[in-house]
Amino acid sequence: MATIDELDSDISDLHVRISAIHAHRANLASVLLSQAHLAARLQTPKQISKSAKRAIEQQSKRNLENVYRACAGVTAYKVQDPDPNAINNGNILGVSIDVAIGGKFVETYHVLLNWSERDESRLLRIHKHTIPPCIPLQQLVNKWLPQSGKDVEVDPEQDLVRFGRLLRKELVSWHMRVKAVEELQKEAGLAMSRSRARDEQEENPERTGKILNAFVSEDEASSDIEEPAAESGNARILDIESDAAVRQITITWSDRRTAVLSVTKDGRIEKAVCRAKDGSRDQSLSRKAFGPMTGLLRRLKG
Amino acid sequence: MATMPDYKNIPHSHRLPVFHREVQRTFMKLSRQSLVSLAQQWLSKKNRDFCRPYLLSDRNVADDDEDDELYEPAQSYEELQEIYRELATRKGGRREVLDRILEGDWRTGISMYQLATAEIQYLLDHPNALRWTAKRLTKIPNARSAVTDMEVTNDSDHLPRFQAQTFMSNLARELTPLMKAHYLITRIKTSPMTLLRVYIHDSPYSTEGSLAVENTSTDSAKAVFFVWPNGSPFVYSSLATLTGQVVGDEGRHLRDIVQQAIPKAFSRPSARYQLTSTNFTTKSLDALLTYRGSGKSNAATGGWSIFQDHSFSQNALDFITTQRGDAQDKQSAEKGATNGVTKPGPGRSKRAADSTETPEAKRRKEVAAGRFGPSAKSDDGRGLERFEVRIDDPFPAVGENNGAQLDGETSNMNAQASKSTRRGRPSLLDRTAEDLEDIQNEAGWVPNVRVTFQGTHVFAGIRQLVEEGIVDGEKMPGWMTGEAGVTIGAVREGRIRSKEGVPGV
Repeated sequence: MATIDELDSDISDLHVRISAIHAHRANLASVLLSQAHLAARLQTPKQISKSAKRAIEQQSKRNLENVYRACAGVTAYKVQDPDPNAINNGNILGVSIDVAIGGKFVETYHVLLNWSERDESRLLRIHKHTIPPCIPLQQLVNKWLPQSGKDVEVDPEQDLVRFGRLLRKELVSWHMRVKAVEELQKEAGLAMSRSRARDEQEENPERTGKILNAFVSEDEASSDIEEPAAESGNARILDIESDAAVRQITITWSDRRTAVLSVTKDGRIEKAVCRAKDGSRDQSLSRKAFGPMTGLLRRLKG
Repeated sequence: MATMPDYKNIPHSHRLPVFHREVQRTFMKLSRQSLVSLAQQWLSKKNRDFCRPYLLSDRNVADDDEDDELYEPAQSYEELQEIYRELATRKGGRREVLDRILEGDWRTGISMYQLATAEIQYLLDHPNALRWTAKRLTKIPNARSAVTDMEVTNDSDHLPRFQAQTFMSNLARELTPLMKAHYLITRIKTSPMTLLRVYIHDSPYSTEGSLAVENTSTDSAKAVFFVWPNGSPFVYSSLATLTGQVVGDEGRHLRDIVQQAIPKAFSRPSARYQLTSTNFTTKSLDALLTYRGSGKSNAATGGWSIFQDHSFSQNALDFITTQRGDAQDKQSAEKGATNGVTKPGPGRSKRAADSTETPEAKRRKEVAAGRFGPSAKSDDGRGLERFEVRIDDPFPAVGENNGAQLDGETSNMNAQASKSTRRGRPSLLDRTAEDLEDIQNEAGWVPNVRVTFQGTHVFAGIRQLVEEGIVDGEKMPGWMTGEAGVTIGAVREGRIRSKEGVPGV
């Protein structure tokens, strides 16, 4: 039995090493392909092979694209719509927005626009996009990429650059709020229990969720674990949750205090309602909550 | 006790007798595992108040003569919990647990809460059991606040804010004068959505006794489901029907009442909402979350789904070009091989088995991959069962059309349209007067052509037809790939007509 286990661990070790070496090889290959004048140097003795040329071209294209994307945040590209009936023979302008948080590029969003010619000017219109619905895309379009409505006479002024800039701002601030909530959860020691809860969920996926109801008071629904009524001060935070757009955060303590906080887009807490366990409002705690999201827990504690 | 019409909701703890049709119907469908986990959930401390089982202490002295009862009532909640824990670990039949619940521990009746959770459990077990219609909550434009509605500021809010408690009390206030109902709203842990179940009790009384009365004409569904995907303006609604059950006008009417109350419950002073159609109906909840969900996929479906993940755009710091290509080739080759093994479709297995495909077939596969991207795979669980379009393009001119004939044809078509509306309920695909006017301005003859695709996964089927060379993948219009993101629509100039504005928001 032991030998089988040993063999298994050996095999998995080897797999890990193979993938590490593969990654290293790929890395070296791309470094090599990115060498300046590589194509010219390969060409001197005899005709350069087609595949080598293609690889070099591909690499240099990728390098250029990545540099632009990494440095600019908002980049444009061209796409061909495969639909034979597409407007403008399927010429599509793509705008990609890269969101970087904490030194990492976390997500890329795309907006694909088609346009219709209208005496010398082009009228852009969103064809497809991958912006989540919690971002006010329609509002930004109304403002910066307006469509000519009923009266054809008035030529709407479109400003793609500002549209892209503001859309990126919305996306980045959303990601930063999500990140800030995660930080708060970690700070409250909830990250661990959360992942454990997820494990349980996987084992027992058919369990119905938390039941919220107008006929069930919040405190009954919130705590599975019956806590002895703790004095305020050493109460644990049971839950920190937010809506999809992270504009509202709800904190639940083990002593049945709750706080509902409203967050602005730049991550400041502007409104807060804190309630003690008997449902009365705690004005002083609410005042303490105002301010940036980072350090919220410290302010509430102190 | 005197019964009087009142203005109350039906509380969780009201019980239905175990032989009630709704109870029998719901509980017969559940699996053993689901029944056990439901019972455990009912016995947990927070739910005990409205899931009261029959315990030994409940046994009345008066009816003590039932000595030959099948299930000995348990002493305490803890003992019952232990029994169900034991049942969960043991293998056995579904019937065993079902009988224990209905004839043993809850012989005195199944509470409304239990019925609701059981029905929700069934829905989660079978996410394709009901037919859902997706609607959108849109703000009614207000002349006074029109400017501020459009602004994007640091604290502007464009989605209706969902606060369960407030919403529930508003909804109950809208509905109680019209009907009695039991509400259960719950957040689903496994997928990002909130679910509301409204059990409609068509009676002026909210007493336990009135619930038990079986209305002879209630073959219609009594419960309505609504689902809010988190962080999106959409609402999915469905009547809780059983397979094959005909939804009567009564059931539909009650659902409409609840549906009309929903935007009102969302509305606040100076922010009024209405429900608008999004031309999307399907049975699959997963498909709904893809096409009308809260993620990136709403407005990039069909072939455009390559933009959703990293298959089109790598991480901006990923400079490696060589390995990626190799790995992908290998993967796709493997996938192709397994596909051939797992799906020996009629007449396909042989060709897939010998891996040397003809260059023609390979090209068709590539074309299909280009048109559909990673979408429309037959095993992705996001199948739409029905897709309907009306073609509003003029008939391709063969010779010269003379005006007289054209007029005759259009008037004929008018007659047809009016006839079809009279026959049944008006279809969404029937041309409106406005559409007809548009068509008459068009040069040429526009016949009333409708195309309906039906199946378990319509777009996967079309993809297969492209791969088999039956549909020309390059000349195929875009709406056949599912990129329009609707299940019903009108085609004009080869494209599905859409309203002004941004798709999928």
